[in-house]
Amino acid sequence: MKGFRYILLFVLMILCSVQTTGAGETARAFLDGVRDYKEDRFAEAAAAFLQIADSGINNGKLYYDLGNAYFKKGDIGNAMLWYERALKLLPHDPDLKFNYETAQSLTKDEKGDKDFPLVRIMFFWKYLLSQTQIQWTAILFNLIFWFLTALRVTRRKNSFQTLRHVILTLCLIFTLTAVYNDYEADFIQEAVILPAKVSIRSGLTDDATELFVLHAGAKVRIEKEKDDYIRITFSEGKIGWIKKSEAGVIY
Amino acid sequence: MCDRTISTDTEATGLTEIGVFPIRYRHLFCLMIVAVFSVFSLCTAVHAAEAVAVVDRTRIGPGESVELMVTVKGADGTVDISPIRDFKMISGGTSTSVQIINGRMSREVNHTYTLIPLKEGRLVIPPLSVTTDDRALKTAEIVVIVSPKTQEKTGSEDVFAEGNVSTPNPYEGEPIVYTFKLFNAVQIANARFQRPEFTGFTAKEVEKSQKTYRTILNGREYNVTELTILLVPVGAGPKTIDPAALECDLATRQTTRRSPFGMMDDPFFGQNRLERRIIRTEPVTVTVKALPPFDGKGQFSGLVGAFQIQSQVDKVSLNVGESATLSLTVSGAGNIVDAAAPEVLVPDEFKSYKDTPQENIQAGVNGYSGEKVFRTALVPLKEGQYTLAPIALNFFDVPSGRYQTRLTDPISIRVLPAEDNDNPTVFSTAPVSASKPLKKHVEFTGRDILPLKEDMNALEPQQDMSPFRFWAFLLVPALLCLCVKVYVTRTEKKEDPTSLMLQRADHALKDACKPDVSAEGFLTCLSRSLTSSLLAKAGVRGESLTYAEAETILLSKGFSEEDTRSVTHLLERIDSARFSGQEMDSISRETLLSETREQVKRISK
Repeated sequence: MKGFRYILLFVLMILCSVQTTGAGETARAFLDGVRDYKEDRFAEAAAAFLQIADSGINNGKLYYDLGNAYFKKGDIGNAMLWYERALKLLPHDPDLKFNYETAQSLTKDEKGDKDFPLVRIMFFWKYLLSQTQIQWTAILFNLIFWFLTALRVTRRKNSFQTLRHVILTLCLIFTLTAVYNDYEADFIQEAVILPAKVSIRSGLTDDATELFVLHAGAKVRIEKEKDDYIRITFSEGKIGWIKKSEAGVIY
Repeated sequence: MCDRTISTDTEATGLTEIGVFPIRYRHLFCLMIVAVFSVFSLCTAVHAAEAVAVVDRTRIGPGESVELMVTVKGADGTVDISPIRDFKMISGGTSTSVQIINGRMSREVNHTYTLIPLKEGRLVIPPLSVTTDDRALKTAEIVVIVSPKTQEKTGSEDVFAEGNVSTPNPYEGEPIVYTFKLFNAVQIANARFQRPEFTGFTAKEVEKSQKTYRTILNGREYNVTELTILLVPVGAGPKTIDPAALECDLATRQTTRRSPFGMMDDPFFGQNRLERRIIRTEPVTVTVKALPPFDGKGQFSGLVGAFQIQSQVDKVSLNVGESATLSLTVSGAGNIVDAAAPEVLVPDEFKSYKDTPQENIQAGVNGYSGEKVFRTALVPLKEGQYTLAPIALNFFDVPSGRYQTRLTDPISIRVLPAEDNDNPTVFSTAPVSASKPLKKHVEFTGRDILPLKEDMNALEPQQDMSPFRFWAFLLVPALLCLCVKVYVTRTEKKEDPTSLMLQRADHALKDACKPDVSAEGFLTCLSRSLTSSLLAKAGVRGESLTYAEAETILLSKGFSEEDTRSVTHLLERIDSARFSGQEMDSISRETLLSETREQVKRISK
């Protein structure tokens, strides 16, 4: 029994030390990346940040740094990809928005599907708030609604009727937005073109007819995957196949 | 493959009398149904996928189209037509058909393509790959003979098209004009123009270039529709512009037998028939000449044509730290869209920030022309007199076949010391509007991104709330509210007068049974128990009742007069014993208690 305790303690110590070592290595890689960036070694900085991102850390600031490193390296495709990924996590970050717009101004292709300003105005909360913020707002309104309902039940009076209806409407709006955002994340995949120039072809071979050409940083929608190819839509009517490796998925 | 005939003979199956037939016939019927379904499924299962390609004709003339149909039987498939090199695909479509013949179900997907030949002679449609969900199929090779031209078009055909370029031997980068002309002597409708791909060129359709006029060829009047496209060759060497195609309906007069009534042969009453036709041009070959090597000073701008350059600075005298804008205007005709910013040699004492170029370029029937303005903000760091060296623009002049250089005039800039800001002006009152300084729109003078985010929290994973957690958070308050509702409902039940009074009657009886209770207390408990049970029956709260009220309650609840009387009598007995201070032995106590219990029980039912 005593021996078992010692073994358990030893295993726990090993696990703790492994975790500490892992965290330490990540921090060291990050600091190396920052140092490389400041010393204008952008390729090395990008590699260091990418190693951290590949280890499973999804953080908007890290993605922003990766976008910066690629931008300085002159790789607009990857810079746009990582800025897009960062925007999913930090939609209000002013630095990120500024750098994203700067990178976007250097892309060659005019945006395929234009955003309708009316939609942006009508569903402004969807574009103003992140998914987490929308979820918490829905939860808050839901809590207030049920609190008022409970109050009504206990007081046996039909009080706060209008307020309850308003709160319920807001709760439904934010809940449905959160559900739609989840659907969008699961079923509507977007990607960014990575190489400087890519031929979008009619088929799944390299010698299939070139339909049109896209350049680094162009944002496309992924329709479906087959073998090593994906079918993309750039704008209405502009559909074709490219290799998977030529586009980075925005997650 | 599955040529099996399924017998539906009613006599053999006994179908006509199935309702009254013995059980063995029913079994036989069931077995046959199973057999029929088995045969159906066997037929469907063993039907393998196949792909067949056919054309509507194998001998065509120049300008005529051929219809290719690839039929995929037994599965859905994707057809790769990229191996077709001798034809150009101008339209395509897909249709599906399902047939059941002799119990055999077959499904076909037809992919139809309209092809036009790119040359004459023996042209080949090579085997095409058809990819289905589980296998790859190949169609057979098809040969189409395209007979050579037999007659001149002009003057003899109702409709024909021409495509030509302004310069068949342009230099690399020299804009040329491609003109498509459609000649029609008869009416056409539903025209759909498919322009060539212009491989090896950058192409831009000239806006509002389409014009229509009439012309006479070989004595026949034609309506001519002209369309202009600007091309800039990319790279040297021979290049072929594919045929342009126009798909349209031709109005042709229907030839019918001469009617016995002369009026029907009048052109006014005649009937036009629409005939679908594809009109195409001949391929155009352009030989693009390479530019000679540049051996002048500076760098070649990449411009081909005739150009000018002008420079201008908005301030020739400024203080240290202020900015002046240097504008370089490149104007002329040629590939001006490709003009890059000319190299500006700025003295080391200046910082320079480039702005986005401003374009004013028109694409006309004579090529591109206009101007491109490159602005650079110059900020002096040191006082002194400086001169900006002339700025050179090297371009290739097509008429002379040589490189030309244009230079700007040198620009002198005087830089004064920075303004003294150590003694700022102090205003005793708010500045009045008259003395308000002129405000300028703030513009970017440089382009860069903002720095890294160096916080270590960049390494903390940001987790989105999972849908499960989200829904759990939404449901918990609802469940809590439900609990509140249940609690309130239960509490309400307890506060119901009937149950409350019954409870009181029960408690009073229990109190009366206690051994240490006094005689007065015993009688009070019995009275309370009986009164409470009566009040419970009435559904009201209360402490006391008159005998008359007790009678009314019981009678109204359907009790007989005898029962009512016995209850009121018992109540009277208890009350008289209670208020007279009568001593009670244990037997009479027990009797009274059991009577009261019985009555309470009866009332409470």
